[in-house]
Amino acid sequence: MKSKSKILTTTHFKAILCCLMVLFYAEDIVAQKLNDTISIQEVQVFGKKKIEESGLLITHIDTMQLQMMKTLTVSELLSSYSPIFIKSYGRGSTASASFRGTAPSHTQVYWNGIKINSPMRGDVDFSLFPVYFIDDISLQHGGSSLQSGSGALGGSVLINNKPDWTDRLSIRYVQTIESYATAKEYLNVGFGNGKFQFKTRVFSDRSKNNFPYFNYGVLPMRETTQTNAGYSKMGLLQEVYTRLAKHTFSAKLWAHQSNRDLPQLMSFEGDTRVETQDDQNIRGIINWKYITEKSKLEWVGGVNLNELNYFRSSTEASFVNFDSRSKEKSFSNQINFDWKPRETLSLNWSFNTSYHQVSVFDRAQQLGYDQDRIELSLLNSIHWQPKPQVSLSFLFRSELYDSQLIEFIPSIGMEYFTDKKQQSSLKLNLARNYHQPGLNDLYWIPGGNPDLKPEDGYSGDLAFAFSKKNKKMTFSGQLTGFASLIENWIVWQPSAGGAYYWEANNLRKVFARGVEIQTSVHTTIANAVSFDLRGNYSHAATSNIDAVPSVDESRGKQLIYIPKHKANLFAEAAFKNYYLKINAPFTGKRYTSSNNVESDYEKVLNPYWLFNLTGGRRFEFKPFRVDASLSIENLANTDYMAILWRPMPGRYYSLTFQFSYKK
Amino acid sequence: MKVFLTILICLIIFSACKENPVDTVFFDFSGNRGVYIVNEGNFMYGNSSLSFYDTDSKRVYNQVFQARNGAPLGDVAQSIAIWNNLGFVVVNNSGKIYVIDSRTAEFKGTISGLSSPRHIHFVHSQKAYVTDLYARKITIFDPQTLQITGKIPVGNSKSEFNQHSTEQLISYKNLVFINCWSYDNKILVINSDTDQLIDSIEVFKQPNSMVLDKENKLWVLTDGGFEGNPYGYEQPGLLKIDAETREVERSFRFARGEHPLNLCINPTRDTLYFLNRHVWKMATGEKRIPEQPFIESKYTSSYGGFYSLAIDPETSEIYLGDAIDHRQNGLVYRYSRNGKLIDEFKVGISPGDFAFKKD
Repeated sequence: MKSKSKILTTTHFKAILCCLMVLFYAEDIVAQKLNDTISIQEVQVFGKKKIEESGLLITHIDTMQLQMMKTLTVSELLSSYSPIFIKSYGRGSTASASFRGTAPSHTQVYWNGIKINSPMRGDVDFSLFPVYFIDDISLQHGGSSLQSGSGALGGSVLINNKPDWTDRLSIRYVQTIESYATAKEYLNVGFGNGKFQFKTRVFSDRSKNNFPYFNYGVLPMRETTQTNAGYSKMGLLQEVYTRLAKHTFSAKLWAHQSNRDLPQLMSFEGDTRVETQDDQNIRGIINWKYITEKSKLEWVGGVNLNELNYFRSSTEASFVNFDSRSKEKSFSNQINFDWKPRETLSLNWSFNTSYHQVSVFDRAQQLGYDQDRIELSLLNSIHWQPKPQVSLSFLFRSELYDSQLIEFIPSIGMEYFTDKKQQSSLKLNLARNYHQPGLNDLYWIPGGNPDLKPEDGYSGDLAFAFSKKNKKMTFSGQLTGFASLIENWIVWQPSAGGAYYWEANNLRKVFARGVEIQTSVHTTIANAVSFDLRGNYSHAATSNIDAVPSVDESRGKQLIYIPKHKANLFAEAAFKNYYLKINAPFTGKRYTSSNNVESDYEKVLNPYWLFNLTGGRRFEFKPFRVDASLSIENLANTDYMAILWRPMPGRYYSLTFQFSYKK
Repeated sequence: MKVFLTILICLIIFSACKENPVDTVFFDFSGNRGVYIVNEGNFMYGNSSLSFYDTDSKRVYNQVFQARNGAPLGDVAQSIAIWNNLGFVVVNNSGKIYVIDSRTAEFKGTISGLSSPRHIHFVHSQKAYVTDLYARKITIFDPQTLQITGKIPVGNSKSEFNQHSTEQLISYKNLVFINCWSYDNKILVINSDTDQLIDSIEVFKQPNSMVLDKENKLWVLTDGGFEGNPYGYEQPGLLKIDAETREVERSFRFARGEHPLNLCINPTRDTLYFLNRHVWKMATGEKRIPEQPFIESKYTSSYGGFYSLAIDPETSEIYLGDAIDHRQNGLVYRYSRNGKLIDEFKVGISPGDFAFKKD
């Protein structure tokens, strides 16, 4: 009964809040209509029409959104502005991606061209990347990801840093104070001239994360406060760029440390546990480019060193359950040659060699493994525009890892502009892709399986992109349908042999299909208020179509924790120096059992909308600029679970000041 | 701007909609013979559950704890023990024992603050023991007041591994035998009058289950660990130990790569049952492990199959849990003592333990 009354109270409160919101906004809009116009940069949702990108499905996330989310992590950015579903364990906690309904290891992440997925696990923890350290982020959907590398059965995320050659001296400092004893600081110092640029960024983000919640996972149910969920993260990004005639040289170093306490599930009532995860990453890149009128030769050397320490102990029994150290070292070397003999023809060759070394050891369990792997990859690609309205692309990769050779991984793309102004186009892409097992899948003790085959996928996309522009309004969008079939999908589960530990096997054949819709509108109302609305919706049905035993009911059912529906809406209204933004991500229903059972007592994760509202003002005291904003996160105080029995915070507040100087 | 406002209002109203709360379901199993089935669920999912199967009407009630009490059972329910119309459900990774009325599934109390509890044994009306995978102690509690009253330290400082991890308990006279499974090879002997560890018996690596036969011989099944185990890996085995002298009288070995588990005994305590992909049946007088299984698993693929086993202490009927892919509701098969299938029914995720309710 206690839970019933709690839910009813929350519903009533929300209804009252809705009414208040309506009144508040109505008044606000009347006030805004009276004022003058301000200009805002043009927004483009779908890919730029570069010849190298023709026939590929690429989404660029707008720099405006990067600006707006500067104090957040890439996991929050992707969750709010892209069709990618982010599975997050809570504020500050691990966040993995599901692109087009695939597994976290099927999203490949590149930082300035080098792959930074964990060679052990295959995935990436997006909560470790601050948006502040990124100048450009784009997504390559499905088979289009082969342009960057193989293995992205869902797609790839490309994170880049860029120099600003106009910068003489710039300083930017951002301070955020947030509920639950959270403080974030960001500093950026850049200087240079047209030939040399030097940029340093540092950040710190720490929180006790001790939010209150109602615990309905224990008896008796009770109001409580989240404990052991604090975190502290800090990082440094150093960039140096020079350009001399046809040569461009750059070096980047990214050091990152994160220390997190891991909270227990809501149902936990055991003795005091200490559970922590510490991550340390050092990444470096050296890049040299030689650019002529028709060609570009580029060399990229990269190093990626990661250490992940996981610790769990029971303080009362003074016993350490786990004390594992996972060390990963990856070195990569890549040569690209682009040749553009004509404006309408581009050819590209790329050869990449990587070496990964992994060492895992748990001192408490005295278990671990040491393994390494060499990977070679050769790309040949051609992009051709035979007629102004038709572009074609064909690329293929040949790859070698360990002793496995995969000779031919092709992707074919076509783009057809349906009008002369090139405002709308049809895109088609067909590809074969594969994903090699992670080193844990092969060598983890116990249960790793050295005989695993690579996951093998075929995918197809068809997209229609359009844009419409007049004096008052810009409207653009893209509608994409996709389908992919992945064989030999790797699953960890107990085998029929009866071993008590779980084993990795190529068990499933997965069929993923769906739709992605992206739209964007920019308009000016009454010559006073500029208004932006952006929406994103994705439908991804991902099911196992190869259930073997006759009693297995998982055949044809949605994979667990992957929502069929995901959407997000973003709206911004700006007037003079004031702005108001609302960002609303939606997560659809997720199943937690493979046969998608749903009953009154069996837990299905319910769909939820979150609303984050930000209001702020910019102040100009040339050459200084100040920006102050207040954000209300989870405005409707929605009670939701992103992961089974892990509490999430209700409404909370965040105050940000930004101070910038540019010479 | 109106569009913006309309969308915003619609969204907030949608988000304000909440599913209606679920009503409490009242059960009355009093007077019914039946079996409680503990469904482990998945580690760190908090989705374990309790099912009740009425053996006469062949009716199954799933999610009885959640339905009756409105709260989840917790994370990885390990075992259940019934005593004096109370059901003690050990919820391993929630570090607690939930106590229910075994006639109604109504929540009666919690024994909390445990580390990684595994099994319960009732010594008498004021004393029960709880074993633990990590705590290196046996916790003593009073089953009437549900208060923790003491502990028996079982740490082995001489070992580089976490010893002793404690599992199942069996009483013989005033002694309680406890097998130490994880990274271990001992059967501990506890004097239940003094709550003292008095002796230990060395067996093969990783004893996972044990039973006591009618001649007071303790049968111990060992799984031998796994390839790459720092504690070592050997062939699984079966041992026969005299409970009085604590001497090993006979031992059997299985082939490497086999995974025998879940040793059970029939009500007359003269026939052993265990799982090793199939169900095996062996008379206590046998000198050899049988060559043919008693109930054959039809599974030929690399997953699914028999996951848990129990013998009805009154009827000798055999209950077999099948966890399928461990991510969906499992199945329980009920066989007659002769191996004839009587019934099969769906339960929760990963059915792992059974407790028979007499009335």
